[in-house]
Amino acid sequence: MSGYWSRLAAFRYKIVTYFYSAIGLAALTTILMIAVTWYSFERITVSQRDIYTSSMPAMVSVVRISKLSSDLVAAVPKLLSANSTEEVNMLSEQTGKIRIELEQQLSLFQSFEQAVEAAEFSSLALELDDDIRSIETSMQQLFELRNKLADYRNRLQAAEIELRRTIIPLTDNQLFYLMTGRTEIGIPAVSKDIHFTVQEVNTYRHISAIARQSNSAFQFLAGIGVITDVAFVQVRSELFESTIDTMRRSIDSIDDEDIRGKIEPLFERLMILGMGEENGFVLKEQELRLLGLQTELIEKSRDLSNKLASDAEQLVTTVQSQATSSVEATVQLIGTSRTVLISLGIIGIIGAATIVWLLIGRSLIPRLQYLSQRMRSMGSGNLDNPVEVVGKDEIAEMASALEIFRKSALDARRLNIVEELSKDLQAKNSELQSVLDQLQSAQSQIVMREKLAALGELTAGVAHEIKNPLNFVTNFSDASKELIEELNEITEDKEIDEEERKEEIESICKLLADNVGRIKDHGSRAVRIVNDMLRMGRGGGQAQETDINQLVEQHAKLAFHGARASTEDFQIKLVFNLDPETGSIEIVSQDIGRVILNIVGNSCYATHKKRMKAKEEAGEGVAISYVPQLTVSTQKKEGEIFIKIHDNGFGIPDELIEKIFNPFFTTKPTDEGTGLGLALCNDIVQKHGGEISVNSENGEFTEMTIKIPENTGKILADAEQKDSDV
Amino acid sequence: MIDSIRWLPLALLGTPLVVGDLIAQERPTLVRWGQSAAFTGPAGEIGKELRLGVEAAFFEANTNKTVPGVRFSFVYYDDGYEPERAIQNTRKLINEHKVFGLIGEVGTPTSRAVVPIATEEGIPFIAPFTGAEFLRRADQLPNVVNLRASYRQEVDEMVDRLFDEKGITRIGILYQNDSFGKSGYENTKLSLARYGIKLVASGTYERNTTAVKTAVFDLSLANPEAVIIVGSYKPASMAIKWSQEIDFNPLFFNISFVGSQALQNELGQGNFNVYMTQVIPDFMSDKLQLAIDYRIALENVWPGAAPSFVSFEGYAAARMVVAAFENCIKNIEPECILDRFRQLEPINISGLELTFGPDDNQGSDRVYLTVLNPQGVFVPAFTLNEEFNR
Repeated sequence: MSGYWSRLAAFRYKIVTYFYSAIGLAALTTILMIAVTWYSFERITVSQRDIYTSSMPAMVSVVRISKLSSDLVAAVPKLLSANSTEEVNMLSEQTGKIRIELEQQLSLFQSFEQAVEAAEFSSLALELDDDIRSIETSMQQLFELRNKLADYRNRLQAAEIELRRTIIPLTDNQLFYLMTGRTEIGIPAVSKDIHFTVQEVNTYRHISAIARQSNSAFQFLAGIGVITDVAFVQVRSELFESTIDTMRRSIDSIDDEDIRGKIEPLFERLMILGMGEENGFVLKEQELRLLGLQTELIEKSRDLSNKLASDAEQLVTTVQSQATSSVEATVQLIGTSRTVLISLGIIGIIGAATIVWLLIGRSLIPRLQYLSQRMRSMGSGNLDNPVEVVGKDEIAEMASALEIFRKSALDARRLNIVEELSKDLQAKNSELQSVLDQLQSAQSQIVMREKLAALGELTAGVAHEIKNPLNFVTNFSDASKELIEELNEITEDKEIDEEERKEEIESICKLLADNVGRIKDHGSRAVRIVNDMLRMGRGGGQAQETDINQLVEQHAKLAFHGARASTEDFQIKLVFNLDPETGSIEIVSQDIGRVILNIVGNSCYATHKKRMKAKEEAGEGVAISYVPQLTVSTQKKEGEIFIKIHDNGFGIPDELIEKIFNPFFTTKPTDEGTGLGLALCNDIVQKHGGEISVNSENGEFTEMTIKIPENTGKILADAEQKDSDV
Repeated sequence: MIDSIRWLPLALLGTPLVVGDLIAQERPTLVRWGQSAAFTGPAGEIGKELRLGVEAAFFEANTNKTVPGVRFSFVYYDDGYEPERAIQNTRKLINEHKVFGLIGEVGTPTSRAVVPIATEEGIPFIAPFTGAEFLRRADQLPNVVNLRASYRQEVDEMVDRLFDEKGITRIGILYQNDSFGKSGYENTKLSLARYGIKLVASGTYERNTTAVKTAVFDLSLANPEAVIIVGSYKPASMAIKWSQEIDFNPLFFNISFVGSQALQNELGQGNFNVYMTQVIPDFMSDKLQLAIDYRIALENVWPGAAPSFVSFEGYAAARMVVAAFENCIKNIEPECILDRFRQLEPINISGLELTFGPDDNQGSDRVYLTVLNPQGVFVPAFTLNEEFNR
């Protein structure tokens, strides 16, 4: 359980946690928003349902009612502007449909709680409808009447043309007959007393009167069309009747049956047109009365229409306000929901933004910037400062990883430094190599010089050695010369007898032979010395199988001789303790020999100095107890050969022991050593894979141990191989 | 009311030709002309004759493709020489048939009734069969184009010939009691006034009646040497016949409106001393190419139809229209056609030269006097003294 909590606690600091919390907050906000939306929709649905089930149908119904009532209102002018019975019938049919639908809508509307208004409206609409029906009927009547009037006018026109075509030629003919007595083309004229009579003149007068009167009558009849006042109809009718009366009298006055027969039917037609059943005046009167009635109906319908329209408007307004309030409630609800949603959205966004800002802006980014800056600085090589690890999150992990990286980089850089150093070293090495080469050449020169110096040292002893035999040779040569001269004298001396001479010559010759023998001995001795010297100076670098004991003894002795030759009053007790098991190994005998020579030489010097010092301290002529002794021993042990040179000289001070192999280090006066002896010795021995160790006690002894591995020959060969490789 | 609507080109050319035309070229622009005229009644023959001429000319133009890309069609209604019906017809032609222009209206009262409509609609009103003065006012009627000389010119010709050749000064007039007749009466008075003469007698009759006897009697009382008749063929012939019957024998001078063919048909053979002014050259001429063209075209459309002055006038009127279209091939608009009739450049239709101008909407000023020969046919009267010189 505690593990779980600690895990949880550890989790607390992770970026993931921040993200999840931000997302969680966003999700929470979203869920809240959805909830609010759902709630709002639910409310809006309820509100909308209310609108749909109540307000909207009422609205639709009232709008429809308004439309229908306005259609009804519009039916009146439509009816009035109709041009035919068919049109009126069609309009009447349409009005009927409007009426039925209006009734339906009104009954429907009454179910929407507006019973009172609907009832009022309904009665108003029905009244208007009645009015419209009356107008319809009157219109039908009017059309009927107008058709009759049109028919009347056609009859009138036809009658007029007929009358004109009859009366005008009648007048024309009557006049022509009256004046000329002619009736037809081709028929001769009658005598004047026949055609030019009072009777014919009267006939012409009456026909002319009829023509005038008929004209007037037609004017009255045609004038009917322009009458607009019922009162005038009667007046006109009376005028027409009086004209007709006059016409009647004129016709009756004509004696000519033929002419009367032509005029009579026309007169009948005229009378019917003006006085018969459905005559023009009657029709006109009916029309005018009908129009008057219609005007009343129209007035009434106009009032009704206005009232209906305002009522419809009132209804629409009422229902509209109800619908509007419902819609407004919905709108308000939507507004509130919108505000809540927007607020939630803003809170969510701000919350998420704050979290993200806090995490990323405040926490992550600076640290990341720090890390990147550190990485960049590391990149540019600044690895010294440790990376700060703050917190426990992924960035902290990253920081610690970076720290690990830094450490690794640091190590890497160190390695890099070593590498660079080794490169430097190599460069220096090569420098050194060249220096070394120079040194080596210098060294070989120095070695040569050392050899020469050693030779010089030897030369003193050698010279002394050679001087003796050479003195003997000289002396014996001189003696021999004298003997030869004596011999010559004897030979030439004639005074002496032969015998004597002979004896003399024999004794001289014996002496000469002795002398020659002695010269030869001493010469041989000198040759041997020289040969030894030569062997020393000769630089053969080749390794060869060498008897170590012999080499050691020989060179120790040589050194001893050299010291004795070059140094006055030199004494040393030379002890050899050579292990016969040592045997031979492959070495550069000459080099090793030189090492022996050098070390033994040093021992000789050290012991000599110590003795001289003791002698000096003791004073002249006083015996000293110090006996210089040099012990040279060899030993073979575990594949290695040890050569020990032990002297009881003044030893080496401790502080100098480390320096003795350094080149040019010497305790000798400047003209006595080069300081290179032991360094070369060390060099040589190392070249042979061995080493020189020193054991010394200041003022008491010095023991130098040369250790050479048995397989030194192989080492040398390898080294040589390596050199040749190089 | 509708007497006839005829789609001349389609009816006469037949289907194969039309189909061929459609395949061969772009669909031509159909230009529809309308005519409201008297085809019945006392002036009916004039309208019929006039229509024949117009149809013959349009048929000829369509057949010869005189105006490329244009096909003429022709619609007409009878107005019986009644102004009311002429108005109805004209409205129908303009509104229902969407005519390009009106051609060959017969008569003065009808033209007077119709012209305001055409002017208002901007419809060309071409070659009415009348010489009325009011139609010659080019400044007031931009859409009216006349072919023929005016009544005044006709009357002048009569008076000039009477005075110059016969020295006749006693002149009476018989006229129709309406705007046409009255303008003839006024013109005659003005024409005589040039010579300081006054009318010696006058008589009138009612339109669409033949009640002329009183007028004849009135004229005979004054006994003029010559009577100018301003009316249509029926009353004119009646008046001439009755005059002869009562031994009243002046020279009768008819105005062109009378209709020569109808008049000669009414009068039949016999010496009536009847003259008539024509505003169109002799249709039987062999010298005038237009007359030759006319006879061929008439024979093509109405085989056997007798040529006449009236149908020749109709033909010339339509030819005049076609000639104007030839100048407006790229812009077939009424404005262009009317504009052509305002230009001074004469329009020559097969030898007949018509001159117009900005203030002159009358193509021809020529008046030809003809005389009824004993065979009852009107022939050119080269002189009043020389009788029947044909």
